[in-house]
Amino acid sequence: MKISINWLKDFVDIKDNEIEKLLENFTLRVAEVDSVFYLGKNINSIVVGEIIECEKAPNSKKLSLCKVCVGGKTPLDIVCGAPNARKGLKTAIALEGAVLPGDLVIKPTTVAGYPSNGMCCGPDELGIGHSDGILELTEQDLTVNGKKVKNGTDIKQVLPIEDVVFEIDNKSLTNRPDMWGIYGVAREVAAILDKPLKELQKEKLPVVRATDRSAMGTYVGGEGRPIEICEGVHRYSCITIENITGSRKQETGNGENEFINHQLLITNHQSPTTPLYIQIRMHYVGQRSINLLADLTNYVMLEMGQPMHAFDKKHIGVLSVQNNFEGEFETLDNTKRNIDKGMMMIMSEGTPVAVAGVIGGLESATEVGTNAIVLESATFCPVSVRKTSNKLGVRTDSSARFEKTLDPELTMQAIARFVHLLKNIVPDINVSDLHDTWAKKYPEIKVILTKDYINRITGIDIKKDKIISILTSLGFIVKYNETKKSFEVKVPSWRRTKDISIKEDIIEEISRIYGYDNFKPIPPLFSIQNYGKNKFDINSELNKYVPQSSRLVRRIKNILVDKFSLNEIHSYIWQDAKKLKKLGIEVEKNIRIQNAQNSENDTLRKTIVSSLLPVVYENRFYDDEFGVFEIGRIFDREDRQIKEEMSLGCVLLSKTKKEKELFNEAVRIIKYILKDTKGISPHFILDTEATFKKEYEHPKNFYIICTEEEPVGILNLVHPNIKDEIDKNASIVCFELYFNAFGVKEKGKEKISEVSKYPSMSYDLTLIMNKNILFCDIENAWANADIEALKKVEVIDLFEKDEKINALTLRFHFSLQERSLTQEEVNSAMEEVRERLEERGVRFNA
Amino acid sequence: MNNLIDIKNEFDLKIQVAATSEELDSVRIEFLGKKGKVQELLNGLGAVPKEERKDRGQALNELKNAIQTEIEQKGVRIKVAELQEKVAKTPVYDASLPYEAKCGSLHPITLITNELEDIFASFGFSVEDYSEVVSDFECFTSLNIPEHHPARDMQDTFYLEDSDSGQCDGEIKLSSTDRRPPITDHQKLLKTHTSAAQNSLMKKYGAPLRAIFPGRCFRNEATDATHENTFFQMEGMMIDEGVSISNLIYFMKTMLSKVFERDVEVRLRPGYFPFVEPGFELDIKCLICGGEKCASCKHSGWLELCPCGMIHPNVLKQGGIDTEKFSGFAFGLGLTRLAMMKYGVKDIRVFNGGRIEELKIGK
Repeated sequence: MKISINWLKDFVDIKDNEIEKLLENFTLRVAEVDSVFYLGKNINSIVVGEIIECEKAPNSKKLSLCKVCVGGKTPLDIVCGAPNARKGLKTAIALEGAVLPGDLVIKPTTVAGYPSNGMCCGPDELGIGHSDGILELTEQDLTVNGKKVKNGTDIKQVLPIEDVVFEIDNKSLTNRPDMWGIYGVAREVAAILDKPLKELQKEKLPVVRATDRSAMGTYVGGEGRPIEICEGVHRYSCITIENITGSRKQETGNGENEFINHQLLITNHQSPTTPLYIQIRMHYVGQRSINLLADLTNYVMLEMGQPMHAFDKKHIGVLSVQNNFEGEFETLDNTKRNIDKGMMMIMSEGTPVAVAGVIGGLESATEVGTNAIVLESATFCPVSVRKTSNKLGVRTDSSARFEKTLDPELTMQAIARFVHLLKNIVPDINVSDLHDTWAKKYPEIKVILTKDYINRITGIDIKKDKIISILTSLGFIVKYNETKKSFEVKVPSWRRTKDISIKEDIIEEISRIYGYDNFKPIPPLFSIQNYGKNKFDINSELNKYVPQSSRLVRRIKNILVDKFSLNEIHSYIWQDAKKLKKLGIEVEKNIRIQNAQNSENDTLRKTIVSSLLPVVYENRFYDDEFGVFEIGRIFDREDRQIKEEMSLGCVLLSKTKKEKELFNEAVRIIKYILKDTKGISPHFILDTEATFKKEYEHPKNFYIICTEEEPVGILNLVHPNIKDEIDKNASIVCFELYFNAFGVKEKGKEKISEVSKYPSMSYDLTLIMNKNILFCDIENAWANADIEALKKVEVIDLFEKDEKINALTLRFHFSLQERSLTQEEVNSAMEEVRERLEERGVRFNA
Repeated sequence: MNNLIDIKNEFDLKIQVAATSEELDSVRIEFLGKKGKVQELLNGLGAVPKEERKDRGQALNELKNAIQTEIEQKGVRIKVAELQEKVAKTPVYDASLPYEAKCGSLHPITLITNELEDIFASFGFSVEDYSEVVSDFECFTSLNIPEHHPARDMQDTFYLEDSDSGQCDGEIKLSSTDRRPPITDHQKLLKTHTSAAQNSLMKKYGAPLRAIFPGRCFRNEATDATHENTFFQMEGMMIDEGVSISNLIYFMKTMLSKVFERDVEVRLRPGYFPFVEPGFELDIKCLICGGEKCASCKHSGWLELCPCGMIHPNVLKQGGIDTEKFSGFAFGLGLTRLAMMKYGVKDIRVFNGGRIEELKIGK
């Protein structure tokens, strides 16, 4: 929202040298000032001039040769191309040496062979509006403080061209309906500057009020016709104004005039126009000038925050607000829109004339020369207006304001202000009684809070009188109770629609105007105590989601990065259909996002690996060998509920290592992590029968990782179909470890085992075995033999004898704590192991 | 006695010829070994007549010592020569060859999270984790954001299929004009801010409480260089008796000075967030220009860094905390944004882009 300092000056006395500091304080105390524009500052040597002679240039269709009086004895010769240049017109003249916006400097020149010693300026040249022609200064414009301005007077004395305009991000004002008008901003400015706020000039109007909704006793135009309202209309006030163009009405052309859309140069002197100072203000804050009546409704909206709508009375009969209209409706912006049931519409005897709170209809709109209007000033339900505005895809200044929950007190004041402004321009208008139906009133709010409480929350001691003066300047009514040392604060109507209701709200008002920059930073004291009223209980409803220690996550990441040189990446928690499809993987059915922007990204992932495979594809040229991992969330349904789990996914790719070696590397990583974090060794259970396989899982090399019978993850080669899509010459292995695998190591059980002082012995044995026998099938040969001295079994070599047979060399380590072993003891232990291995189908090298 | 001289002469000859440790060793064995020439004579000492035995023994021992000394001296000389030769033979290795150790990499967000967690741990904050799928209640209602509150529009939300309605593999989709499904407190969604954990943590721990909770957040919006639908935040809360705005100002300044490893100047502006009252936007003096106004701070001298405020009493009450006794503040740090600032990342999409090269932190 843009705010003009000139406009603010109507209500607060602001000195020019206060502006910079004021804007800084506005940022610190109200809302951030995004940008500041110093308008018209460099413009000089533009004066009021009168065209005393005007002839068409003989050899041009457009150019006129003018003689212009700028106060001196000799008129200036100026060539002008504007269509509205004519004898008698008073306009703005840029003299020799004048500077225009954009740093254009005026010099004497010749145009089409004629000398031209200056320039007739239009609003565009001066940066104060838009038009095809030059500025038309009316008698009204040229009357300053009751005196007529002479030719040659500096234009800046006539028009408020110089202004400072600042902009605030609308988002920072969503909670402040009162700040959507200049007057509300002025109130804040008055509080910041600690200066009085001047009252808005309004017309006193007699009121006919329908307080009883069931009676529907409100009338439009005083003709005894009731207005009916539906749910969602909080207040509806209206008035009829006639005789706006008065007796001049008949002389007014309607739409035929070629300049009709260019308000600044209306050649129909009969139709009243918007005063230039209003046009300039509105232009400076970004509001286009349309016609006098539309401009004034906009002006009042910008000033007070109350949207208004003026209907041409000739199209208006009995008014009502209804929400059951369905069909097409052509709005002001020449667009036909489909209205659904439920949208509030202003209806005139069954015909829609406006979308309530959003946009008016084309047919009933005012235009130049409109003589009589019905002026609407209402408050509508913010939710309803927002819904309608979203559905229609029309967001207007009006709907934006209604969405903020406006103060219903404003409707009558805005009408009174409108009439006041219009009367200043057209004194002899006829004004009807003001009609008012008020359906929703906000209750009065009184907040009581003690000085102690204010001290406690602010942490500083703001003096009582300062508190009272701040609150009073913002419109609060404050009573102080000496004995209780408490404040009774009555909230003004414009702050109580939703904004302020509790003690903390009042404290915010006090402290922001007091200024956070005036606060003293104080170190917080914190009680050292073992907090936690509910001791952590994994079965408690509150803890159904198990929080993981960030230390543990960090430890695992460090292991993967530092020890195994893997790379951590982040992906999205939904499956990327496009990228997966490229690799030949279909999206796995799972929980879906209802309103994803793209249906290809709407299904949550079930594994981290499914996010990582496309990542590996993207990185396939990164290096001959690399691995990526992510610790993130995976999702599934369990008992119709969403189950979320933390999981580690990891994919290794190598173009140099054999598949077997890479696979063993993955095994080592998994074992290392589980050993380090949980102190256990996992089992790997080969599952070739699994029916729930995903496309990327290998038909043969697919293992379930288990700790004590509990599955904690999956390890597999990537299926050749998918692998070849990523890289034909690479091996790819992936695994996933669910985070419940990462418990905490049992405390108090970790000990350093004493090393035997006696020599240890080792025994190498080469096992000749069928390839379908796994190590885990034979390891119980010694595990169950209960050999006390056997400490460790280690793989020395694995050699492929032929297609079916492997030769596996193992080294058995023996030692005893209390004495040396004899070779005989080792031999007999190994004899037992051999026997047991033979039972399991293992043969030995001769 | 002659044979002693002969032996000595023979020894002198042989030791002169010995050029390597091995040759020297065989000389030693020949003369001093168990079956060596000197040892043999010593062994034969018993057969020598008693009167000669003393002199002969003395002479033999002298010979043995002399030989021993000479062998030792020669041994040292040979060793020195051999080491010199070894060194001479060793080539110069080229340390300037471009060999690199294979390095893994932590994600930039992880690095910045670790850093911040350490700082907060030093302030006695516990580090908490929270789920990514939360309920409407957790994300909005418990935070004083009732239905139809405009704050809900500010955060475009990803809503999940309702598990209660039986639309498990749902074909029912929202139409393009419905921005969101009908809301119940149970409606599941992807959390739009880490504040969604406030309520549960308050219920779990009660007051006093000081905790941070970093996490992934989601907003339903189109992505470009400055917008991501998936990003990281870190929320922090401190609740105790008498926690005030002045405490918040002090804390934020101290904390941010640690984060940026220099004295940071902060300022508070009013900011509107339904779950705090009063609410603030916290700015820090621009780190690039030091407040002199530059392009990075859009010529304001200040950088908007994080929203914060005194926790709204309704939020405390929803969390089961006695507002007459306790008050507290909360703040939200944009981890993704901090990572962009710290590592000079220009395009936010890099973080979830998965390209290893782009994610490696270097100089």
